[in-house]
Amino acid sequence: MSLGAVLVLGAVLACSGLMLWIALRILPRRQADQQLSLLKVFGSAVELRCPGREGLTDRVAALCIAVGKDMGLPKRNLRQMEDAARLRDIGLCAIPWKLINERDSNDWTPAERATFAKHTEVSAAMLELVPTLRGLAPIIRHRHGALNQEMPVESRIIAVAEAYVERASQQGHLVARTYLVEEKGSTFDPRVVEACLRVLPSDRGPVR
Amino acid sequence: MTVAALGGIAVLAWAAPVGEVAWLAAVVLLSCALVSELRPVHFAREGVFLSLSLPFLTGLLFTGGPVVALLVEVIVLFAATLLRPGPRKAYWLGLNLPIVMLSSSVGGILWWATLGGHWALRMVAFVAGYLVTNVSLVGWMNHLLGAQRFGSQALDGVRSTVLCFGAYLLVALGVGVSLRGDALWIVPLMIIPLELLRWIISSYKRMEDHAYETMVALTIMLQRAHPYTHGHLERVGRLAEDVGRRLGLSPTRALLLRKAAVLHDIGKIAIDEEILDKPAKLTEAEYEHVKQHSEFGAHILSQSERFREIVPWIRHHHERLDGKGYPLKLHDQDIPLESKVIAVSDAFDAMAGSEPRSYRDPMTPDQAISELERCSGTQFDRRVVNAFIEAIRGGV
Repeated sequence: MSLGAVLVLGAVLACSGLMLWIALRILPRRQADQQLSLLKVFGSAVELRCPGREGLTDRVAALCIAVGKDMGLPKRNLRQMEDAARLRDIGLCAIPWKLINERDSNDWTPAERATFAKHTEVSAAMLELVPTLRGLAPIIRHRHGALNQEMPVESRIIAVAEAYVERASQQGHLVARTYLVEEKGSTFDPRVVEACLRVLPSDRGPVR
Repeated sequence: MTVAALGGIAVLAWAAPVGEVAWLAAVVLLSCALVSELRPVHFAREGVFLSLSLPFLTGLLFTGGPVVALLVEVIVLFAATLLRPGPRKAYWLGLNLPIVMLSSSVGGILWWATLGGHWALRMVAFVAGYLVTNVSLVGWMNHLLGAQRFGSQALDGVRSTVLCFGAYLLVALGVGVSLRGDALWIVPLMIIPLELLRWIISSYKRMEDHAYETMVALTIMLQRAHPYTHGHLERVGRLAEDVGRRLGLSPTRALLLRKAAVLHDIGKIAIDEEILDKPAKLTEAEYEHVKQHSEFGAHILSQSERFREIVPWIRHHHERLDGKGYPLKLHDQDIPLESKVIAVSDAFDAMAGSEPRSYRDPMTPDQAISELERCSGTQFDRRVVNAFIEAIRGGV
């Protein structure tokens, strides 16, 4: 074989190496970055519509991940759960603006409460329209349902994290923890609650 | 087109008759080409399959000449279409056969025309001729069939395109040297770099799909928040792209402008829908509230790198030339051209769309055009308005 041929084949080899490096090192990182930033787009849309929720999405997502890791969920499920946690409230855009922004949620009539509760279903229905996000719909749909066998573990974790973060932002961490303990076994999966209490920062003192 | 393809084959057959065929090499190349052809990257939105079998077909130039390459290409296409799962096989075959034959003949003619040159140069000529013909024919077909324009968005950016094309060519050269050096066993190994290339391209495609679907989901959100007159966003997008092209934007940028135009009102997710749909005139406070939507839209999209370019276009789509717009009261030269295009398209469709919004009397397109003309120079850019009128008159 001539020198030229060896050079060409060497170049092909080098090029393959380069491509392997790109495919293994660069692309996954870029993909993850983009995925996260696109999810943040939805989060910021929801937070603009419901200013009371600023920052909640990030905190719920972070807590979900921590609890999931503590429970030893596989990486794949963690990713899915984070996506679901960030997209869970996109259905809020279908709830009347005035109801969210100009009325205190404590004064809502039962009918208004029912309207608000629909947002879970709306979120799921919207995600079902988008092929790559379709898999998240069941997780989101089940998270406000009764605790039963069918409820995916991701939904259980999101339900706990969401309840904790929302309550903690309104009434403080202690009340939120107490709430989790009270509802353990009825609304929330006991295993998830235990994991959640384990991962919550303990610098605020142990749960009494 | 079939006629052109047959003509091309005739010229080729006359110019470069089939020489001695190295059968073993031909069979190896055919199988490798078939393997690559069976694993294409599917661009679902554009309705295009991208297969990476060309390097092996190029190899056939050395084992039997361009006519054999063409024949094998047709065989591979037949076999791959029949073996690949999926509906409408006859349709795909009828669509692809002329394209493939014509591309091969153009490549083959170039191969023959460079007779006497170095073999590597002739090979590059073949690949270039083939790819240019193929890409333009596919683009043309898609245009005829009314499918989405093949924006080659999956290979966004010069760097990745150069990398992909360079890798492709290198593999073709690799096949060439292996054949000439009688090292037939290296040929099947070339599938490895092609697979890597395929992996990279489909990763890019997945990212592209994600971004696209985010866009779709955002418009779905907006429509849930504020049930828009259906189709308004789509129409504004189409108009804006057309106008952008007439103003001399590159096709890629015009496509981006279309996306921006579809998303331009995304900030209305955070605006009270009762005020937006209010039939009466807005109070001062209500108007101030509505005016926030362009800033909101920019804020929402600025979360992702992906939308970085279109954020300012959306922030300023309610600015006016005379500085009386919002949010920043910019003047003529400070307003991005793309924002001006969105402003004009949006205004026109709001006035004269087939289902005009409730709070205004519907106008005929002519009335709307004269309204645009009346406001050009103060509210709208005259150049944009002129291009827009051209687009409306020429297009409809």
